[in-house]
Amino acid sequence: MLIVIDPNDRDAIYRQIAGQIRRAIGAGELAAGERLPPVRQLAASLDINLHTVRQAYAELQRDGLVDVRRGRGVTVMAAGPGARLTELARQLVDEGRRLGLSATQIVGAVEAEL
Amino acid sequence: MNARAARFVVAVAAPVALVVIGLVPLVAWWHRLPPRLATHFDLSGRADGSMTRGADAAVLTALIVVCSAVLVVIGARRRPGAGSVAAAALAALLGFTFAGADLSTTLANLDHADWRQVPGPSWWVIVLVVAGGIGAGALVGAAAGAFAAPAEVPAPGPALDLPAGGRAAWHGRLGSRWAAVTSTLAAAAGLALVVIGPARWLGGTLVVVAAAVSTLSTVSVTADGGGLTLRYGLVGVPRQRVPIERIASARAIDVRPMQWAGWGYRGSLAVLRRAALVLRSGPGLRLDLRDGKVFVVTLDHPEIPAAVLNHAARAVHRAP
Repeated sequence: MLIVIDPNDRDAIYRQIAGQIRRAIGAGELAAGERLPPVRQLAASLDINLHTVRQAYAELQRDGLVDVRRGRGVTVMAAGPGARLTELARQLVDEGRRLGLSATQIVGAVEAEL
Repeated sequence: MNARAARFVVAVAAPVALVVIGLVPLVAWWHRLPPRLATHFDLSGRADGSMTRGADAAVLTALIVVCSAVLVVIGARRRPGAGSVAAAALAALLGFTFAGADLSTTLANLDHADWRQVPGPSWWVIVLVVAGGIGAGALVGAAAGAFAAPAEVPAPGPALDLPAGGRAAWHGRLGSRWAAVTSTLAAAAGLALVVIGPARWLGGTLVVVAAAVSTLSTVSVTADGGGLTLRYGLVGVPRQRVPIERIASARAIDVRPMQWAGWGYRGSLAVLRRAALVLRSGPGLRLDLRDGKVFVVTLDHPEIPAAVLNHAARAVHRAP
């Protein structure tokens, strides 16, 4: 899979990485059981700190999207439709915040569509 | 080596060496050889097959004539293509292996009255003959490559459009189920032979071959700012790297195993200036290196790593 980072973007690098992986899982580009590159390898590839990659993987593990196992690497977990929805919700909230909307307004926008 | 010396090696030196190694000893020592030569030996070193001197000389002469003809024709070509370079290497490999084998047979039969009493060649002689054949093939291949036609370089594929300071990395995987299955079976059979069976050396060979084939069962591919990296097998060893500084351009192509004479790791960047990892037919990534060499890998969605590499190559060649 392709990962692109922009150090000048408003989003922290680890969030960019996690977001792209999350999107790929939600879109079915990454199947359950597939291995993501090891922390060291991805960090060297993108020329960034090990810690940044670890943070990205940790966030994905917290969301239940990947399983990080010492020695076994990073494996994609079976992603239900929930993963895609979570990612879309995250994008919606980010966009709302960028436009300066309050939490109530963002929720209101969703409710209007239901 | 320069083109003139390279042509000399292919068209003159190699054929002459073939004659000197194979035919001259046979002719010079004709009268010291029995009328029937021991030409085949069983595993314990006893002669179990023979040929008349005349037949042996005839077969060897025919082989040398054919191989030399190929070498002379290709050596004389103004701009031989990749196929001709491979043909020259093959002709040298076959010719020198057979000439070397015939020389070892001649030496073994020397001063014996009867072919049945001739002792078989030692194992190191066999190793020497095979190594010599391979070495000659590699040398002639490299020489032919030195005056071969430079392949037309196709236009590079598009490059990734990144904001300033942006970085990209693409990670993919390819593998061959066939290689995984055969290497597992071969390893199991080999281990069984080593532990139980009579032919331990065969078992050992099978295990070694299984390990080699297993490197093609799964290959991890990375395309990033540093270049292209291939990690073979379950362990990721051997590791093959094409640094971005060597890459002129990358593009997606369609790979047909016929273009590479088959499946697996084909060719050699060092000897033949072209190499490919062909694990299936279909989409693949082609790298054109700055020194004219070509490297190809069969991959899904090769346009993506191509775009990553084109962007990185541009950045490297732009910077002072």
